[in-house]
Amino acid sequence: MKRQWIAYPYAVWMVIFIVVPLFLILFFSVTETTSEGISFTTRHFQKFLDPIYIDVLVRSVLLALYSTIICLLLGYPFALVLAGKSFKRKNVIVMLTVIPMWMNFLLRTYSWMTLLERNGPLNSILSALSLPNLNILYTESAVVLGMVYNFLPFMILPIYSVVSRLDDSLVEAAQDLGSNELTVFKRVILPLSLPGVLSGITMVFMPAVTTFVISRLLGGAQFMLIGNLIERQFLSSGDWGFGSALSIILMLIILLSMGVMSKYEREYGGGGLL
Amino acid sequence: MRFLKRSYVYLIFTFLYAPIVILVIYSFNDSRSRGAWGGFTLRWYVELFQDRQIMNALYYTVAIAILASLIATLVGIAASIGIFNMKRVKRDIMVNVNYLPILNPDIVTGIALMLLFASIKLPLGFISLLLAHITFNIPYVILSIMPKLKQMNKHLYEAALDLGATPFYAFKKVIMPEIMPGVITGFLLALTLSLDDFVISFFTTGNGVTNLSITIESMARRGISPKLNALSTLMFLAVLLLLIIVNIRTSKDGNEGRSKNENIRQSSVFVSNSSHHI
Amino acid sequence: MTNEPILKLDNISKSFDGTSALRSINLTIRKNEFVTLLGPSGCGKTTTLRIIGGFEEADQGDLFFEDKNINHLPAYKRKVNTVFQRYALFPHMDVFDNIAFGLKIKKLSKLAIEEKVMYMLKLVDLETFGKRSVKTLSGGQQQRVAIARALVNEPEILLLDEPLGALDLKLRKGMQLELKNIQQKLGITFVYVTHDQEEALTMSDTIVVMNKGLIQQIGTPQDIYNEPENAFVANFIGESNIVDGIMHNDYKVTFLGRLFDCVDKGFTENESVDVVIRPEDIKITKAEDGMIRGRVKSTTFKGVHYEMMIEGVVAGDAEMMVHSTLMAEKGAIVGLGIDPFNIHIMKKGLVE
Repeated sequence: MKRQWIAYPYAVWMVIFIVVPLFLILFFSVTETTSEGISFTTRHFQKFLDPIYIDVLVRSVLLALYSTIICLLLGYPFALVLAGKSFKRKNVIVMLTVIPMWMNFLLRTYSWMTLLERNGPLNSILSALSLPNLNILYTESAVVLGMVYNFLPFMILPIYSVVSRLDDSLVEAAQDLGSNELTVFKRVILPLSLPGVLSGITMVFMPAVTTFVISRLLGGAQFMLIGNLIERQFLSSGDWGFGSALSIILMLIILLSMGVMSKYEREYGGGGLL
Repeated sequence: MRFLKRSYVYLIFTFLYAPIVILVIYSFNDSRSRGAWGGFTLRWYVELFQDRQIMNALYYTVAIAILASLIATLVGIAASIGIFNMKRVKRDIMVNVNYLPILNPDIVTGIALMLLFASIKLPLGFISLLLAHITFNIPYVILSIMPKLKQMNKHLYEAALDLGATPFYAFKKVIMPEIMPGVITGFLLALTLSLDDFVISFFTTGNGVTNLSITIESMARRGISPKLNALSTLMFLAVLLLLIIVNIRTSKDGNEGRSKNENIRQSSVFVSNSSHHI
Repeated sequence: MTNEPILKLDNISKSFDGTSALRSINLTIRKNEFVTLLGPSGCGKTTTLRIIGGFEEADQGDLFFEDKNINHLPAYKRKVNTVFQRYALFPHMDVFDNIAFGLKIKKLSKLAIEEKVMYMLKLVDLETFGKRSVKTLSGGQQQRVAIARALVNEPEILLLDEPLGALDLKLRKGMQLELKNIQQKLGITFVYVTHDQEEALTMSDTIVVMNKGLIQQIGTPQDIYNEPENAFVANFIGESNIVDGIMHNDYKVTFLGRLFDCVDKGFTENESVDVVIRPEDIKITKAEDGMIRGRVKSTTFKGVHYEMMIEGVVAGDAEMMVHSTLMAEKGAIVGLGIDPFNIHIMKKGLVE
């Protein structure tokens, strides 16, 4: 099996469809076309320094962070319970966690538009219980809710996968050595589950910070995250240079957060899903 | 304590499933206003199938998904074997570039491809959409096949040659059966990613060619539509069916010498693979 | 061995990524010979086998099969079959289909295939196993299938790459005899790779000792054991005491502070040499009767014999290992006796 050449067609494909396009983004981000032709510029990156755009970036990162934290708070206990002995048919329960993710992403998001509508089912129920109505559609809260809904399983699964592989005898050993349940959790389960938590954080934060669909549907037409800003440059303002510069910035954020994560992952021994 | 734990799990499941259940119920609701129940109807399903735009999008979605995942699988098989046989440096380069579309935000992949098509003056439409889908599918196919190649006894191919098989015969009779589970997983993964894609398609299509995701998005932005509820119900059923098939397949695949847990892990990996791809 | 040569390696060299794995290997293998390539891991024995099998091509040198150059002949056209390390059985096929694989490629009739496979199954004692999945077989059974799968193609040469490495000791002993029987019964040339010197001594007609890509010695098991050509061979085959010595004249050597008679000659006057003495060739005597004296540092019972370390045999720190059926108490002062023909003199420089 010495033949490598059968990978060469794909190598060519990669150059054309992966490498070249990324260089095109880089190219557009640092050039401008004037009447004299194409020239180098840092204009597009400078434009980003405008407080309006910085605000968009800050909001994107913050909302993604909130969603990640909420997912962690909801998902961690869920994963622990799942990995524990509370359910007999574990694979069915895991399957049930997975199924909603396989539904079309847009339909999942759209379903919240229905639920959160002013006269929608949620408010009908609240009224029936004579509770105050909830009108969060087209606000930041709705966007965060949409992110949590869509990405929660990405937090649960890696944590579950790590915790369920923990050797039972570790817990028993800790109990044998005199730990109570809380100490077992603090000293054994928590540290050993960290690789899964890190994977989970990565897997929620990345798509959350780059999304432009959730914000478009649940945040309303004027709602701006960095994804929406990029989309707008290409599809309505026609400012490809600025759009490319924003894309580069987004890639840098992703690279940076992956770097941070993999640094932590190395420290905690790794072993998550990715 | 056990009761508390169980209740918590059911609470989360309620959160995960409530929106879907609501959509399913409303798809049979004979009333446009969401608050009230206007009686049972199949009207929205009829209207759904009469909607030219949606049916067109469905056609393109399926056509693109099948073509793209087939091509991606073929290219991916060849690429995996080639990469597997490469020496360290070359292999590392190939593997890392292969990871780019998976790690890059979809929006970046989408506009990168759009810039490419614009630069080579390829009009946006069916062809550009197909090329884009093949591009983001291949990496997942390769990631599914590579572990199978690594698991394989590295002397199997040589053993076949040793017994007189030509390289092609050895590939067909020995390598293919060994990597087949990976190939099928890769194909299914590619198919589902392709069926579901919105972001990359959004930037790489045009001239009236749209897929379901794009159509849903534009309809949803115009407001709530009972037809979408009907569509959701049908797609949910389709997903359920597909997952049952996949699950039966993976548990068959895993019957020999693999624990149940390992199986669960495999199916969750199957899911997490697609995490960046939304 | 007066049979005609079947395979000839002429000046074969091979390197991987700049590290040389084989350096000018010359080797002639005769028909019906059981040749063992013996050496530590990384010595080049497997590479040699893979070049013969057609899985690697030599960088330099020529490979002749019955006087025809087969340097570039692909593996699937060679009249050579291989039993791979860890067997490489096709996991998706049953035992029968594994063995029939080569025959199907040759497009034999169904009947002929059936007949040949059954014969082979009988030969390796697995008559009832045809329909079993290979995954359900034990290591020893997989081993037999691998041998049957190779032999059924009636190769001129069978290559075996550490075929018994994965088996436990008892099984290994049994398979050694069985392999030897099969080889004699079928009259096929075997080229056998192992790092186990005992295995090599038991089975082979000819042993090729290799180290660091070089052939150290070629000879019969007796030759290799009794007359190792250098300290590496002496050390690798069985246990040895290797001490520094000086060759004064022919048949006269000084080591451990004493002049000994020996049977070697042809060294320059006062040449520094390595002296090799097998532990079982040293006799324990009363202190006053010994050629040299020493104190017993330790005594270990090894089943067949006692292993004793004797220290203080010379002013320096030399220790001698002695295997004897007679036991000497720890701390006792004993004498050691060595017969001249048990003293093996080797040139310096080839020691690893």
